[in-house]
Amino acid sequence: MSTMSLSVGPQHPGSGHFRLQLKVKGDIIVDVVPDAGYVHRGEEKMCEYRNLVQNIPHLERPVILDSVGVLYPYVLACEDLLDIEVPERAQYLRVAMAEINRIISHLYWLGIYGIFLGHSTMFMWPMGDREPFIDLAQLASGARVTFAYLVPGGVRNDVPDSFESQALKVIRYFEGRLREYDNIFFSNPLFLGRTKGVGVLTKKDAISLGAVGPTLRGSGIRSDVRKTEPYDVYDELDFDIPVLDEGDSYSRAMVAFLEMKESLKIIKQAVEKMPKGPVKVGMRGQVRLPAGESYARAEAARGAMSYYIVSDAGKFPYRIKISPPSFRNLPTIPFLLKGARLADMPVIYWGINYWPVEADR
Amino acid sequence: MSNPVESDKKSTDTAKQEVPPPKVVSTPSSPPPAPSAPPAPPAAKLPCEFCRRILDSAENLEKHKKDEHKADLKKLQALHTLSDSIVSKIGAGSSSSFVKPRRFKISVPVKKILKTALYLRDDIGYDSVESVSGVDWPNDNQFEVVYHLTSYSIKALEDTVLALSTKVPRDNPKAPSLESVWKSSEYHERETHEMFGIIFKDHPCLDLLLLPEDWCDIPPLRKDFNLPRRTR
Amino acid sequence: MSEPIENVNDFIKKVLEIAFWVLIFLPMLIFPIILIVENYLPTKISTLMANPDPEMIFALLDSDFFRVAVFPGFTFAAGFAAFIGLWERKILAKMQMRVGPLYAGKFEGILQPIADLLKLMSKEIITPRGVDKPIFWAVPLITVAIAASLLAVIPLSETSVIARTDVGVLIIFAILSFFPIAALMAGWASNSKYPLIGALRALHQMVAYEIPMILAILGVVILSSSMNLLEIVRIQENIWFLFLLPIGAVVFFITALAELERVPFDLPEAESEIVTGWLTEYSGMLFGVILGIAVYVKFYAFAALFTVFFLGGWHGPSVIPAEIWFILKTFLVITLMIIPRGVYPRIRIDIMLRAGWAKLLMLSLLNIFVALLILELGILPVR
Repeated sequence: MSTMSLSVGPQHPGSGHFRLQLKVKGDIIVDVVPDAGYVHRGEEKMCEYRNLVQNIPHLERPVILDSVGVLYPYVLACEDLLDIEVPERAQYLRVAMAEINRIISHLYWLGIYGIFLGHSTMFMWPMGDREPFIDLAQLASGARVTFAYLVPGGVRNDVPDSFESQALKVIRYFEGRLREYDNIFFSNPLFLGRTKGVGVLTKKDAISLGAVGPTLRGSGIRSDVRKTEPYDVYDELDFDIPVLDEGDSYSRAMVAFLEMKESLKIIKQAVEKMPKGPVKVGMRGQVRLPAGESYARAEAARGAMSYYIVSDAGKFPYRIKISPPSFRNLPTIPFLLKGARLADMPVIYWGINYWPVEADR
Repeated sequence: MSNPVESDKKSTDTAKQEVPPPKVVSTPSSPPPAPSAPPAPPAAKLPCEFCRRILDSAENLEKHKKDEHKADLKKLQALHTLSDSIVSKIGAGSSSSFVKPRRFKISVPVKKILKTALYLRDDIGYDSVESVSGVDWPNDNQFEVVYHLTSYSIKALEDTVLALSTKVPRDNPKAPSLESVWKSSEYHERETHEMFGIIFKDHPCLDLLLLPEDWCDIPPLRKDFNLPRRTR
Repeated sequence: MSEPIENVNDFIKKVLEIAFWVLIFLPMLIFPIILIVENYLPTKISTLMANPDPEMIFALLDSDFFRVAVFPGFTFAAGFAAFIGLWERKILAKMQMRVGPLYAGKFEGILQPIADLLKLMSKEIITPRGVDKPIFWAVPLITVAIAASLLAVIPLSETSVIARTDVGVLIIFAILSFFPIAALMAGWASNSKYPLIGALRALHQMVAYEIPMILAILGVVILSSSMNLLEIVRIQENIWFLFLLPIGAVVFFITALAELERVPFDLPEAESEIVTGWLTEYSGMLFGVILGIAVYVKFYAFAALFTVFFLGGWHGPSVIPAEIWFILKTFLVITLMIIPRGVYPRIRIDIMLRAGWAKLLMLSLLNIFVALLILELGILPVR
C-alpha cells in the first residue's frame, strides 16, 4: 500500500502555529517531520537590546497563558546576578500568582484537549472557569492576560486586602468544579478508551528525549523543580507532585488534572501564610546586571523552564538563552506519533501540551 | 574557619555580595588543590576561593537560615570533589568554576568534549540536556557553546546543573555533535546551529527549524547582526 | 476548456458522456415539473386568489403535491430541521452553562436559523480548482434528495402520509445505502486529501452500522408481520415496541447516531484531525445546503423512524391530534439524540468498527430472537 503525505498545519484546526508533515499508510502514521518556527520572533535577540526591566513585558508575550511561569526563572536568574534577597511577602505572592497562572494555563490546555477529542462541554467549562482565576490575577496585577507581575527584587505591587478572601472563595468554587470535570471527562469511558495505551512514552525514552513537565511525570519520573530545587517559599509549603507510571496520554492528562488540585492547595497555604511587609526591594535605578553568568530554572505550567543569562556589566544583558518546556518537549511529538493512528494524532499532540509560540520564542 | 558550619549564618545569596562574580570566560585555571577527601567532618577545608569566600562571610547569617546553609555547604563540598575529579580525569586544558553552590561549569577544549560528555553520562550520571546555548565573543574571536546538564536518574545530582562549555573559533565554527550522547540535545543543537552558524559534526539534521527556510543572512544571534541598524 | 475532438472514439465518448448527464439530470428536473404541471398549480392558485373557494382549498390541502411539498413533506421537515438546529444549540448551551443564541429575534434567539441562512447565502461559493465540477455541485442536491426521500414513507398519522406503500421498510433500507455513496462522491470529487479520508471514514462507518440497524428493524417487522409503516404503528396501539424490544430500540438508537454522524460518532467530520471531513471543500450555500438542510432533515427523519418503530407513532390520548403526538415524540427522541453531544468525546474508528461489527451485530441478532420468542408466546395478536 502506498503512503499519502498529509500536511497538518499551520492552517488546520488541530495544529496551532505549527506544522506536522505526516506520511500516512492507511490509518497509520509512518513518518513525521515537525516544522516549528512559524511564530519565531527573536526574543533572545530582543533581550540583547533592552535592559533588565524592559525585557519583562516582551518576555511573557510568547506564553501569554503562563506569563508568571515564563518570567519566574528570568527574575530568579536576575536576582542571582544582582544578589538580592526578596522580601518574604513578595515570595509568597509570587508563588500564589505562579500557581494561579498554572491553573489558568492548565484550564486552557484542558479546554483545547476537550475540543480536540470532540467533547464540546469540556471546551466550554474550563474556558469559563478560567474567568475567576483571571479575575483573581487581575485583582493582584491589574491585567487580565499578561500580568508583568514579577520584577527582579519582588513583585510589581502589593495585592489589595480583599485578595485573600477572594482567593479562598475561588478555591472553594473550583474544588467543586474539579469533581464535575472528573465525572464528565476524566472518568468518561470514551475518554479512557481514547487515551489509555495511546502514545506510550517509557521512562527511558522520556529521559533520553528530554521531556519535561507533565509529560515527564506522566512517565513515572518524579521530577519537579519546585521539589528538587525549591525556589522562593516552595519548600515551606505542603504539596505533592502527582506522578503516574503508565506513560500514556491518559496519565499525562491525569497528571495535569491532579496538578491543578495541588495548585489549589498551594494557593490556599500561600495566601494564608503570607506575612505583612514590603513586596519589593528598591533597585535604586539599577538596571545593569553585574558581570557574570547565571542559570536559573523554575517550574512553569508546561514543565521546567530555564534561563541562562550572561552579562558583561553592560547596559543590556550580553546574552539570554531561554529554554522553554515546549521546545524541550518537541522531540517527543514525532517520536510518539510514529506508528500511531491518524485519529490519535490530536490526542498525542495536545497531550504533550506543546505550545508553538512558546517553543518558537 | 575552625568550625564553619557552626558559625555559618549566611545564605549563599548574601555570600555572593562579597564575591566578585566568577569569570564567564573561563581560562584554564591553575590546577586545583587536591580535593579534601571526606566531606564528612564539617571542619574540612574547602579548596577553591569561591567556597572560602562563602565560609568567610558566614558570620552575619540569621539563625533560621542555618540548616539551609549547612545543606548548601555540604552540597558544595560534594560538588567540588566531583568537579575536581572530572577535571583531573579530562586532563589538560579543562577547568572548573562555580557560579552558585549548585551550579558549576566545566570548560573543556573542543577536541575533548565528546570524551567528556561520554564520561559525564556513563560515569557520573548526567542524563539530560536542559539547554544548549551559544555565546558569541567577537573580541576573543570565539563562540562558546554551553551545554546545561541535569540528571533525572541520580537523585543527588537532581538539584545541580552542570554547564559543560567549550569554545570554537569564529572563523571555523565546528564542534562535534553530542546528539549521540544525549538525544535531548538534538533540537537545541539545531537551534544553536541556525542562530550562530556553528556546525555540529555528525548531527542527524541541521535544517533550519525556527528561521524561515529562505533565510540567507548571517546567523541572527551573532553580535555582528546589529538589530537597531537593521530595523531602522 | 474543451479540447478539439480529433477522432471518432473521442466523439463517441463525448456524446455518451453528455447522454449520461442528460439521463442523470432529466429525472431530477423533469419529475418535479411534471408533478407541478399535473396539478395545474399556477392556474389553481390564481383561481383561488381571484375567487377563494373553501372546497378548492381543501382539495389543495388534500392533494399529493401539498403532502409532498408542504406537510408532512419537505417544507415541514426543513422548517423542523431549522428548529432542531436552534434547539440543539440551546440544549448544548444549557448543558455547558452558557446562554446560546440570544439576540436574533425577541425571544431566546428564535430567529437564529434565519440569520444563519442569510449569512450562508451571502457568502461566496468557492469551487476549488481541480474538483470534479458536476459531481461537486450535484452532491448537495443528492444529499438533500436522499434525506428528503426518507420523508415519503414516514406516517405522521393515518391521513398525513405521503406514500401508502406495503414495502416501506424495504424502501428505508434502500435509501439508507445511498448515504455513503453521496459522501464518497463528495470526498472523491473534492480532489483533496481531508475530504477523501473523511469520505472513506463515512463509508466504513455507515456500512458497518447499516447492518445492525437493518437487523434491529427486522425485529419490528417480525412482530408486526408487515413492512408497511402504517401497519407497524397500528399494531402498537396497546403496547409500544420499545417495551417489547428494548434491545432493538437501543441498537437502533446507537446506529442512528452513527448514521447521522453525530457525536460520539462524528469521525467523518472530526475537526481536529481532518478539518471537516468530506465537507471540507464546500463553502457558502453549498455547505449550508448539506449541513443545514440535508443533515438536519436526515436527523428529523431518523428520529421520526424511531418514533414509528418503537414509540408507537401517533398513538396517544386523543386530547391532542395524532400529528401533534407524533411530533412531540419525535421531538423527545431528537432531544435524547442531542444530549450525547454534550457528554461524550469522539470515538476512535477502530473502537467504533469493533463495537459495530461485534457487539451491535450480536445484540441485533439477540433482538430478533426476542422478537421470535414474543411471537411464540403469543403476546401480540398475529394478523
